[in-house]
Amino acid sequence: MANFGQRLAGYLIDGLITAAMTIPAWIAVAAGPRKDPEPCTIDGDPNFVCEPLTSGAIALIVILGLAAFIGAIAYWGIMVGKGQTVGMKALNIRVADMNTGQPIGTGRGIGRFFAMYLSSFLCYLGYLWMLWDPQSQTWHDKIVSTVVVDA
Amino acid sequence: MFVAVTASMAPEVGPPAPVAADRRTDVATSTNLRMLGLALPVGVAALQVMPAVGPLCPLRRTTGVPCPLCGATTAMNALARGDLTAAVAANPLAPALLVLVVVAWLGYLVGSPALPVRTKTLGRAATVLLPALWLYQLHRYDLI
Repeated sequence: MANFGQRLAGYLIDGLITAAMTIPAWIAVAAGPRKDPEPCTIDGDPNFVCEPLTSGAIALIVILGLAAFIGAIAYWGIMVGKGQTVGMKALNIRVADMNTGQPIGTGRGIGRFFAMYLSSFLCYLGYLWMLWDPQSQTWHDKIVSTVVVDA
Repeated sequence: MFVAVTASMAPEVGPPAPVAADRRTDVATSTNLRMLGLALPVGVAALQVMPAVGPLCPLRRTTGVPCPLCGATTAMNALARGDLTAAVAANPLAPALLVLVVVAWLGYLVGSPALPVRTKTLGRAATVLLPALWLYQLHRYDLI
């Protein structure tokens, strides 16, 4: 079984890659066209002046943000489905069906990605669960019946 | 001939020896805990130098409701200060997890890589203790 250290290190690498996918959206926030300055209230204090983004700029940011999210779904779904994300390749571990040992395919990979949100919701308890699980499974592993093993 | 007869008639005493698969699991658990032990100081150090980010728990950040592991950061900071009472008050299981990590490392360093506590037992303990810990956190945050 892949151990906690390998999985954490791999996850950090994958996290950096998927975070990088949001950079275009952040650039759009920084550089997006804005309307003329106008008085505005921040946290109840009315003494500020803001330059609100144009609705076109907001639309662009939303589209780029959605694209980043879809990119993350594709990244985790397809690469996990084939067996390894970039981080997993670096740490020499892979995701396998817990019974056959085979790659799980894109569909289950996408399901596993969304299940990761469940694992994280109680202070990442679903991730920490692997510390005392007999097969070192996280909650998202259990939901889609995977194990993470040495490649 | 006497020896052969006596040996075959000797009753089995004591619990059955752990199966090889169980031992592998106990080794894996020890490895996982040891890796956590390496990651924890990095995490605690990172928290000291990072600007205040607010609660790390997604549930508490979105709903204000604490989860079973809330208070673990406070507990770790208290332990780093040497304040065991505060650590246990913040999250009673955090010091226990730390003890397990230390036991895992000690065992590994003396050549006993399997955790002396069976993984099965830890799993059952977690299933029972974590809901209780959650109730404690809800109480600690004055929600019940």
